[in-house]
Amino acid sequence: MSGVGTTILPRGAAERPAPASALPGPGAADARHLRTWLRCRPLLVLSLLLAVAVPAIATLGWTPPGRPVLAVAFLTLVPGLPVALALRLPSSLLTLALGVATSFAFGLLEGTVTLVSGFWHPVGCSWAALPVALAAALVARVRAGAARRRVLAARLAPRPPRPLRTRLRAHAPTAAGLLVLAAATALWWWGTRLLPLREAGPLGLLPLLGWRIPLALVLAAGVGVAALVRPRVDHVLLVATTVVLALVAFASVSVADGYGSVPTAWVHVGFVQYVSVHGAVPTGVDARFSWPAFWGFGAQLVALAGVGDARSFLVLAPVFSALVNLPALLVIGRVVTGSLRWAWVASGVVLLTNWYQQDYFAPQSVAFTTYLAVLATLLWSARTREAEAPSFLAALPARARAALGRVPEPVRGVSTGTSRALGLLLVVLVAGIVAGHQLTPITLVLSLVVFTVTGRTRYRALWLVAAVALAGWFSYGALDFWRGHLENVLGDVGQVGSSLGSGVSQRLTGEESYQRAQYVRIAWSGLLFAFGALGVWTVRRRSGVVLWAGLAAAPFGILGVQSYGGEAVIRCFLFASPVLAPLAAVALRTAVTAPVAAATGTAASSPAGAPPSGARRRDGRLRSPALRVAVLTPLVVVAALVLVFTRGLNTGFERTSADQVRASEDYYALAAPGDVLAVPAGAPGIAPFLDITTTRLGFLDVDDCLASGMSACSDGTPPRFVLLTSGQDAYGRLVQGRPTGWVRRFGDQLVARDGYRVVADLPEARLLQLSS
Amino acid sequence: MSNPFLPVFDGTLEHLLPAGLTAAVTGWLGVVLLGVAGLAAVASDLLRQREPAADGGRHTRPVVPVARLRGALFGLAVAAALLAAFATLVRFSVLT
Repeated sequence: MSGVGTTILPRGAAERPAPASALPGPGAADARHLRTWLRCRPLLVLSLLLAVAVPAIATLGWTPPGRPVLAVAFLTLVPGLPVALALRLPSSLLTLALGVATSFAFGLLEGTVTLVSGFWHPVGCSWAALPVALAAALVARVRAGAARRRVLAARLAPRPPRPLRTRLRAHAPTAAGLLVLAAATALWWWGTRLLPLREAGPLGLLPLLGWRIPLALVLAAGVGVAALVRPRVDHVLLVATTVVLALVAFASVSVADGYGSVPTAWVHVGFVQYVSVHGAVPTGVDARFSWPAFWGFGAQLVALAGVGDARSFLVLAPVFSALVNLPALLVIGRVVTGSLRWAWVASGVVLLTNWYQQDYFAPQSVAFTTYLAVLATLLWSARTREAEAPSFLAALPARARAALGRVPEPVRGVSTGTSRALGLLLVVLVAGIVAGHQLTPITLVLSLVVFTVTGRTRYRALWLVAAVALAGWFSYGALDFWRGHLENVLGDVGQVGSSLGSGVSQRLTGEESYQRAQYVRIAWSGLLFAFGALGVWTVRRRSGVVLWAGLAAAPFGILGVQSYGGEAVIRCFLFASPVLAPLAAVALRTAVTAPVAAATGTAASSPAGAPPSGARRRDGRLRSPALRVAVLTPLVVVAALVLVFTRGLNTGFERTSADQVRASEDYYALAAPGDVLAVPAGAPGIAPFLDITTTRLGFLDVDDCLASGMSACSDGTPPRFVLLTSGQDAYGRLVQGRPTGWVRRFGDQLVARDGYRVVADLPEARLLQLSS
Repeated sequence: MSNPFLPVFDGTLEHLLPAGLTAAVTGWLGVVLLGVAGLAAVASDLLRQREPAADGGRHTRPVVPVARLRGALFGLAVAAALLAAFATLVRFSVLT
């Protein structure tokens, strides 16, 4: 297996294909293919090793250190990466994006098929990926070999090997940057050890940070900006910076607590546990089981990782999500901005405005990554020779007419066969999305319609495939979900105002300072939207502007279909941000380069994205890289702090403390089948998250309980257990307008008046049991 | 904007078709229509990959019969999808 990919080119300098620009005609495409192959080959070898090792370890029941990490890598790269490489696309980033998305879609569809058919063998089924991966790797190797022969036949002079000293000098800034990032990570870790999360109030996480975590942000931002403004963008440093920023912004609370912080993620742990134990999804328990793909996917992850349940994947899930979304975001950003440098800026904008917290261990997270890959593929292949329009409005009728009959030019270097194979792969991704999540397919259909009506795709019927798949799954696969209450399910259709109202105005409740903080969230997204609109205006004469504006607007069509429990607005921004962010980056670029352009008489929005070299020489503000870093780093730090603030606003009631987990475990130790665990209504919490059909969760109207006793507020049958937590207290204080300590007083009353006794009394959680 | 699914909720569609046809479109015929629509749409897209760009692309050459077949398949896909959409609404009306 190690032979795969190691004999395509002789080792050394000759393995480096000459720059595509140096090759004539078809040779340029071959060189691009070869470069993609050489860049992705180590990952291909890794994915083949994983394809064998992970199922083997799980089959034999070994528990080597790092087995969960191997399982995650397996489900991320196998068999998607070999399949994507077999397509021989002349883009490394797109190959990576498709590789990850294909692996996810494969896992989602495999989970669906095995659960629906009743053939639940998570470890055994993991072997199914091996033949797919091997066959695809073989095709990839053969096709890369052909490209190599053509490149060599072009008698290109190999690039002379660079002396070791030169190479070391070239990599010194990267090494130095990585050291600084390591220091930033250490500082952040130290800071998380000291986070006083119990004091989280209406302003959430930000006031608790101390000096270590902000300093870590400053270091990471400085490295990221320096990597970005270098003459040659340092991708390694930018990837590492992204990871560090994601750790700080998305994982600080979880790492400090040691447990994933979103209560819904714990519900998902319970869903996955049910599938792990029963090998099936229950009926009549929860609507989300009508989309079983992710639960099967998660249960396979648990089986391959050899862990008890999925809780260990919760802590770093958002960081993982940020990392796997990066290739697709860069492809999208590069298409819109015309520059990889500005694509990095766009991906940074996506990261820094992502307060939506939809990247936890959840179906929408996996579906979103797959959706991004579809979007990236179609944008990447949306090429036309249409010239820039002299006037935006005057050209609109002509553009509309042209769009109706347009078939975009095939991507250079992509054969008809490859184009067809790519089309089939897109269908697989669409199927994975449809089976995996309720809302993402609706956005997908809307986006695909935009591609078709603007005439920017050669897959003009893909929207129809997605719509048919969505209708088919909803109608037949999700029967348990809608049967008997379809009016509730489809009642939101056409109720745009209601969906908007439930998404925005109804959330602006609670304590005054907490409300004001919510406005910051809205303003942060509003700023992104405003910059995106400015970007559309900036590129109004570019041929792709209608497509990009349409893709940014399409997700807001969700508001006409679903309120999604008041979350539709958040989801709209989530789905729009991958296109809004590059448009915002274009606006930023104009703001940065306009003074230079004015001074030198050059166009501000040059495709390359960087000011011309002459301008650099003439403009003192841009000449010094150190000055650029000094000016831009504070801006990035401020943006990162806004992200920490907006993302961590609900820390008080969304975090999961060790006490909550322990009280929950105490409950499982005491509970009998049929028992009810009650919590105050409306307040989020993590219990009960396991054995979801054995015991039941009940909700208490606290005001009724306080006024009339437990019998009055629990339908005459008091629950045997009551769980009271600091998170509930914070929620009541911040959102429901209750006084501090209301939960403890409520518990005291249950003990004094309603016959409960305290069976677990922890600083942040109390478990009460009804005395028999 | 009023909800376009009102005829589904009020049972209008439930008795629109003969009982046998209603049973078919809410069951196997609905699946067949969805399958035909999806497959025809995929096939039409695959055939389109051989067509040149409208503004003069490379690497492809025009094949008129294939273009006609592609057009026919797309028409079939749209027709089957419309019927499948109607069948889905009938299914909603009957089963809800």
